[in-house]
Amino acid sequence: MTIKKKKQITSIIYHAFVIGFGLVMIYPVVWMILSSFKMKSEILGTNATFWPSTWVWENYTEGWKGSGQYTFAKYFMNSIFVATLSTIGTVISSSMVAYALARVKFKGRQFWFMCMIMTMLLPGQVLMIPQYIIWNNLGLVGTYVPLILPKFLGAPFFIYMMMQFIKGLPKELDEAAMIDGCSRYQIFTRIILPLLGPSIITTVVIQFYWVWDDYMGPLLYLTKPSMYTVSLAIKNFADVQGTNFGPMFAMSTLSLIPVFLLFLFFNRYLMDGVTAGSVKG
Amino acid sequence: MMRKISRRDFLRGSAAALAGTMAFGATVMAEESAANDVNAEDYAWPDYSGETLSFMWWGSDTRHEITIEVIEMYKELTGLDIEYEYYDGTNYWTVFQAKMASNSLTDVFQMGNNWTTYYDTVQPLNSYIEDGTIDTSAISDTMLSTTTNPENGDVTGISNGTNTRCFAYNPAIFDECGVAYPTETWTWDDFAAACRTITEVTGNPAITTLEYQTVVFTVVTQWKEGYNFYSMDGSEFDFDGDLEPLVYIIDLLDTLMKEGCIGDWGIYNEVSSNIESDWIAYGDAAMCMLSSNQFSALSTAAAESGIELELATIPRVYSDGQSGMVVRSSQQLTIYSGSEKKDIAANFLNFWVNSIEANKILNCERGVSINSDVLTALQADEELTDETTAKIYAFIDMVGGFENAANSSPAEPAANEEICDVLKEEYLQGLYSGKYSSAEETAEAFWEEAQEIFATYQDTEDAE
Amino acid sequence: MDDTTKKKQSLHSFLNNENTVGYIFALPFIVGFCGLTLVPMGLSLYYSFCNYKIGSDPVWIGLKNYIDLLKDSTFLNSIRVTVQYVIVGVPLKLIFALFIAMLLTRPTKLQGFYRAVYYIPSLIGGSVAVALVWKQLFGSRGPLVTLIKSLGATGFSFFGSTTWAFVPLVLCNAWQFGSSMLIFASGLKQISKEYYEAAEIDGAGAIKRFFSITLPCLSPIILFNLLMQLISGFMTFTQAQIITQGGPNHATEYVSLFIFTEGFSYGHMGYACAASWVILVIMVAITAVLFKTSNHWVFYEAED
Repeated sequence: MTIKKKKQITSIIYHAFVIGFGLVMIYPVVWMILSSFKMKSEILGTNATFWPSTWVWENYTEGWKGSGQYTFAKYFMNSIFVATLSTIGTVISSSMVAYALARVKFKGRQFWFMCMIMTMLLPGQVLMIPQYIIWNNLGLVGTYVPLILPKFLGAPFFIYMMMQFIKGLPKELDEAAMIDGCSRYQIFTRIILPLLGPSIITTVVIQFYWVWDDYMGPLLYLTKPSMYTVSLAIKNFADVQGTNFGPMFAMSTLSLIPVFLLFLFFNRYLMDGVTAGSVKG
Repeated sequence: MMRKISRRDFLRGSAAALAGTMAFGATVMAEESAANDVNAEDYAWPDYSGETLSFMWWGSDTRHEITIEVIEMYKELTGLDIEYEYYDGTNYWTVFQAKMASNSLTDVFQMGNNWTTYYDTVQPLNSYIEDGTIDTSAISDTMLSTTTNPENGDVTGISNGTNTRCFAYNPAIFDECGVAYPTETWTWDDFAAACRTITEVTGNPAITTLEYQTVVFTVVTQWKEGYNFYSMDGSEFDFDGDLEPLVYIIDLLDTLMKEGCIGDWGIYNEVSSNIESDWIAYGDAAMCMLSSNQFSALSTAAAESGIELELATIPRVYSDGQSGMVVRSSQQLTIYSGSEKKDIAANFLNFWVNSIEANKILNCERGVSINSDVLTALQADEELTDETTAKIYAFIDMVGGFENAANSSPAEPAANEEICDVLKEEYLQGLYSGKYSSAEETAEAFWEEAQEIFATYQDTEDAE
Repeated sequence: MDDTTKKKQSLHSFLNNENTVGYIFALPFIVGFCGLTLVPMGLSLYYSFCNYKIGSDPVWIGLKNYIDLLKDSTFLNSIRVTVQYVIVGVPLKLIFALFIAMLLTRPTKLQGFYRAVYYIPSLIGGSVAVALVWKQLFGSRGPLVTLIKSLGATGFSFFGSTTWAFVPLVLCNAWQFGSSMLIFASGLKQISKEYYEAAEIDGAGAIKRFFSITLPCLSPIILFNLLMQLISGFMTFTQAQIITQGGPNHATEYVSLFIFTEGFSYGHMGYACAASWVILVIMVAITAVLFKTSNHWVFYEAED
């Protein structure tokens, strides 16, 4: 009885804490969502209120129209296209490169590993213009290629992350497979990839929203409004000359939905109890 | 609705002219340039079917929409396909520099008063103006001079309209505090007194947004006639090193801020990225400093809280002295020096600045039109000229009448941006946070660094 | 027949040679590095020795940029405030992320929902919305300033104070801990249950289990998150740009902001490149130290 009671009390404290703290965490997000239903004067300044005094649904219809001749339907399609391909590219290329750097003893491994770490250490601002010139010389500015192709060439962050996970897998697995007659390629597809499950899913979730959120790439390379992504289209609502806050928050709210759904879908595989990729030590 | 109908009528009216162009071909056009009035019934629209022109600008959502509307209008008239790109005012310059670095700028682009910084990209328009491709008959020389390089007479672009730095104020708060409204000749002492009374009564800062660098440079201009911080062509300082004006204004601003009459740097940070978030829009502050073309957006925001605003001049040093006010080009359209379609671009610019129908859509959102015919037509239209816009027109008109208002604006040297930044971030904020002990010390250190910065930019130019 | 088998065999052994396998798998990165990163990096190194403004030709000036940088109080200050930001911000974010990740491993029906709630803040990124909320929360009339003022510190301000302006930025960064949390969570999931079961049988308490199983098993992931957060802390840009614009009085002008302002606003690209390479050298040193010490505290299942 007492043990059961004790467990109940811990459980209540646990849930109260998680919920209470969670509310603090999502306050700014709730603020944004509520603001998408407010008039401008209620969003800013001293008149700012938590709840909208009247619910302004027009922010959504007005925002959806966008600035030019394209609606947000177009921008969402563009974003989904870019983010999906980029994510697929990241998973394929990063897992391959991570396998090579973590498990294969080839000449120059240390060198390439250092190169990979180096690419993350130089502030991106100074690489931006030279990279732009390269894409421009290739005639690819104004296409999606500069946004998507690099993701198929390995993302250092995810390469290194997967390397750490691969190093956590016991080497005996490889050796056993080798004895069974597996080639290095088969070890990758049959042993490593399945066991990398959780980190691949982590990559999918994180990379998808990073690409979704990124506006610097789209800003530089997508020169036509018909190609704009959601993040870039939202930026165009804001300017020192005047900002359409209501529509901007409305579209920002909508833009959360795809990434949130993606998270909900994949999170199931990251939870305990689902044993898709658990390892026997 | 009204706008749409009038535009359609206009398009129908010019259909005959369009047919004419197609028959004779576009080459005839150049020879007939003398009668290049886009508003004339019989204006021969060139046929640019199959051609493309690229164009980029920065601005707000409203600006994007009206600009696209004008682009489509021009397409219906000439068949020209304009590929456009639009950004907000910050990101625009990142994109601009990337395109500049790869020699791939758009044929036409929006440019600020910082054109000296990007001079290599600018195609001078003088020849197009001389041969009438860009008709400037309704544009006064003064207005044209706002975008002309005083050093060599190059016309660097066509101004999208003029504006002036000024103050907005809320008469209701002035009444409540028993303070007289700002007059045309009010002084910084009047301003300080008004701030102190208002802050005492309301308990709030009287003003939260000041364009500090403009205030400091304006005081230099006000100090004595024909005096400026930079020389007119922007190639050197006009300021002679006598620190008195700098000390005067730096001390005044710092004292008022420390007394709580001017919003501190924290409040400044909160409001400076959006004119609509200024405290004046919610009835908390009594004044605000802005560019006149921002007044519409600010007034709309204030109206939501039931507040009506008025415009006032920048205070003077001496009430009978120089106003220091300047009517300047708010921004301009420039043709890219590397463009292969300069003739088409020039024709578009001609349409842009002269077409009354196009400007009915643009409606001076970028600044008060420099074209007197256009302005007259807009002012005559009650639907386009609401109360707020009328206030801006009247105010610009008044300031334009001030002594030296039209020609006392020096070209911005390339070093200007960095000098303005250090003035605010290093010196004014440094004085406030106690890094410098007095206005004298601050002014002296600022002037020394300003000269150093200026010299580094001269080095760059010499090296090229 | 024999010949083809031989060929097949040699092809097979070539393909399964460690070097071949390594280069085939690493090929995407090598292509990307050589094609897209190497030349820009080399160019930026070259520019760092030049007087270079975007759009005009670089002029060689030797070490001048580097010498000027070491005398530039704004640059030195930007390094100082960046280090301060990293020292306070990175441990805060990592401890927080690990704490929440562990908290949410408790098997309840609501686990997925809870994790989603804690992950949402990371989804809104560096948007205008975040900047506005932060300016309201920490602004001169926000709840926090009002509270602090009521405790007697009249005239207190976050954004107006050179001492306190970095606090909202550090908290904003820690608030968006979602990706670190996820990576910790998938790391925790990879730890074999058997370890815990064995420890429980041995009678180890929760704290003992945390230090003797969780931390060692998670150490590769901790190293990864630590290094990545150190890097992103040093490169922090967006939040400072949208919330404080580097102010007041350069108190939040982090090195990335300094580099961006010099390179893009002032047209001193050569100078900005030199600053970047100074940062690179600092980062290489930190990374090297981290890798060296990691031999002592990071445990891999598969050791080379």
